[in-house]
Amino acid sequence: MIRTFTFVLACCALCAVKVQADISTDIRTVMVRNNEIYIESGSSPAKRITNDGLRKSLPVWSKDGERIAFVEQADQHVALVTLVVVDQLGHVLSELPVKPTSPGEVASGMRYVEALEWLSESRIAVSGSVNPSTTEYNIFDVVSRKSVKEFFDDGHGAAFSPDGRNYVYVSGSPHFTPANDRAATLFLDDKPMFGGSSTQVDFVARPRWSHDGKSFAVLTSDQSGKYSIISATTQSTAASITSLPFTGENPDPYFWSNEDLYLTRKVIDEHPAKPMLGLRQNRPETWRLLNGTGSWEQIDAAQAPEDLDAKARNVKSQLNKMHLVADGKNYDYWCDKCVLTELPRRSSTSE
Amino acid sequence: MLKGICWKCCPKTSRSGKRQFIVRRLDVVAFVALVLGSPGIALAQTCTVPGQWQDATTSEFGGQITVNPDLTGTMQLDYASLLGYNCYNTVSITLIGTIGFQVVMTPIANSGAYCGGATESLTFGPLCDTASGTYTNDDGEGSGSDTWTLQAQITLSRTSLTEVQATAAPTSGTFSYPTSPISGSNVATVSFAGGNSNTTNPNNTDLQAPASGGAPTPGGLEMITAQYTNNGATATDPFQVPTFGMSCYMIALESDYGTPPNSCSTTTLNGVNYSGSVTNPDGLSGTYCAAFIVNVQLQGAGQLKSGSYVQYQTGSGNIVTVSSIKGHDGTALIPGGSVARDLSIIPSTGVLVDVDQVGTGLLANDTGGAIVGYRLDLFNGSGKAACAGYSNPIGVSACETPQAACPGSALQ
Repeated sequence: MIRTFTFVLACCALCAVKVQADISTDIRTVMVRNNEIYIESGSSPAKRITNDGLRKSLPVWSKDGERIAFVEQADQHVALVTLVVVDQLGHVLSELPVKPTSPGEVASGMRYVEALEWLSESRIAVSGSVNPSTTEYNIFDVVSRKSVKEFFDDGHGAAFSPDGRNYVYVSGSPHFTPANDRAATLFLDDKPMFGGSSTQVDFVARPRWSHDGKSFAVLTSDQSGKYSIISATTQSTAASITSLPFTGENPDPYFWSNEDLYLTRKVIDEHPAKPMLGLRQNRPETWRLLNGTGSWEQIDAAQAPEDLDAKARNVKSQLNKMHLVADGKNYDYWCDKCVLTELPRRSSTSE
Repeated sequence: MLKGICWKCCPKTSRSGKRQFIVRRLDVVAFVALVLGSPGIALAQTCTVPGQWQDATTSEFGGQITVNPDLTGTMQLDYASLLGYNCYNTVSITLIGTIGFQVVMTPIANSGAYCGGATESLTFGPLCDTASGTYTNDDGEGSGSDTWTLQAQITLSRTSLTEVQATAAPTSGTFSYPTSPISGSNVATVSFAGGNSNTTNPNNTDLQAPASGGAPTPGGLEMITAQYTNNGATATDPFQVPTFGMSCYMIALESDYGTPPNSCSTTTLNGVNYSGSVTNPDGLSGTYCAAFIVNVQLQGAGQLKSGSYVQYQTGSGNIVTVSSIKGHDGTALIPGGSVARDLSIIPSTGVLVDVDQVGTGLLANDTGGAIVGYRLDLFNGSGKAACAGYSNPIGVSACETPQAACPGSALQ
């Protein structure tokens, strides 16, 4: 409990110091200002690397930090947007139309681009919603300059493995489908893994991959509101469902550490170190999924691993605050061997 | 009588040797206490609670409390330097005769992960400008002493969705409106209305959502604290304002895709080009353009040239006619009047939402996994024209049925 309270103090009162301690000094920032791309490296001032005046958004560094992808406005009669990849000097390495339409063709699918994600050094996933439930994903190979894969997710978004080779998504539940007719199915690389009309579960969050890229998990709830975790490996032919070790609570966040899945929840701290008016003091309770058994093991909070994804997201959030960023879709950060490497190389309108 | 008592309790001898009587106010209080017994004694004057208070606890953190005439109000606890955010509460006051009052604090949703409620029992000070006592947190595990000190007064009214008026007393002070994002970052900015400065009293301010453009962007929720400072004392009244980032969706309209069998438009989905016409597709009688049918399958619903609505049933793979298009909540979607929302923001059904420059009374009866946070997707009917050129604005908003994460327009 004291450790928990101290963590809060350290994390929040010393946020700026902790951000610097968590990232290397070799941080690179890319941003959109006045419809142009600027990059900032280390202590060097920001420099503009594009100059065409076209509206741009969703800049995102490649995995090696050498290139930047972004989308740029396009003639709506030709394409939805243009996917552009440049180097740090602004030289265009690749330009691809997203959702091109031929004369007389009616555009279908995503309404606008809402996220870019580098899956590998040559592949980028471009995604955008069709309606409140369905999101279209279009994977481009920026070297061959071709679209190599398209699919639709009807859940809370697809998730790509850290190496970009595998993807998990939910399908079979278009937006206007009545609740009693939904047949949401979880797919791994287009193979059905769990779900369909017989299971009656709702996928309530985006799937999450383990850091080694071998396993994934997704949170579900049934019609009574009971939560469960569905998990599988890339070698599985089907996913398994495991009830949570506690009821009545949404366990988000749950996280992976190495190849193990952990759940956390807060319980009342029965002996707070320093009572303060209107300040609820909790302590974490952590559970680990025992692989292959479908059961959970409660572990000592002191032994619980760190949720590196949450730590990385917090660092990114603090960087946005330091840059006075109101709109995160126009900023991205990269640094070598730092906590930000725990996050996908992804830029999104909603993150 | 009083003199007699004072003479016995506190005699003083003057230089002349005569006894003098010094009547102190505390002696009066003591006399009253002696006569009437305690607790439950009446004070020399009747104290009231409504007003602006500042509290300070033994932990050295405290905050500002606004109590309305109906003995409800708000409390802002200044924990930003400790937690990175403050804690915001509603308060409910119950008088204990005329000697004091009890306080029940309830945290406002999204106030912060570590913010909790508490109860306090406070006793008025002799001059009615302080109240002291103890607090107990609602987890039962934190307690201590607390003292409230009465401040200058400020009252707020919401003249419109984007306008707030503050009135303060005594006059000759200055107004300010610091803001603090609670959730999200595209929150409203606050500026003095035309003709107003920080000394104008009553003081009018404008709330403005950030500019938008391109793909829709989530809004957020922020705390705005109306502050009035006069002679070194500051009165505050915090209130929450949400902004929502908008987008637009529709169902497929048959007439958008040409005329079967020979004048159908084409479309491409999943790398497949759909052209020409199909007959009796998925159990639907008639001949239709293939591009229209694939969009009905993608969207889940569409509207025929006849005006009838059709829905795609994923279980059977059939397209059937339906009387209306319904949202997630099971009620019919209203073109231009229904929105899809994130259930964690607006969990209740039947909630009407007002969004500046978009509309009032928008029924939040739909939802979907692509709508996350402070986002609303406006259902605008059938066909491409329904959403053509939609600018995806961000608007200052309010829920007509207040939700924990979507407050109403009435100021808290």
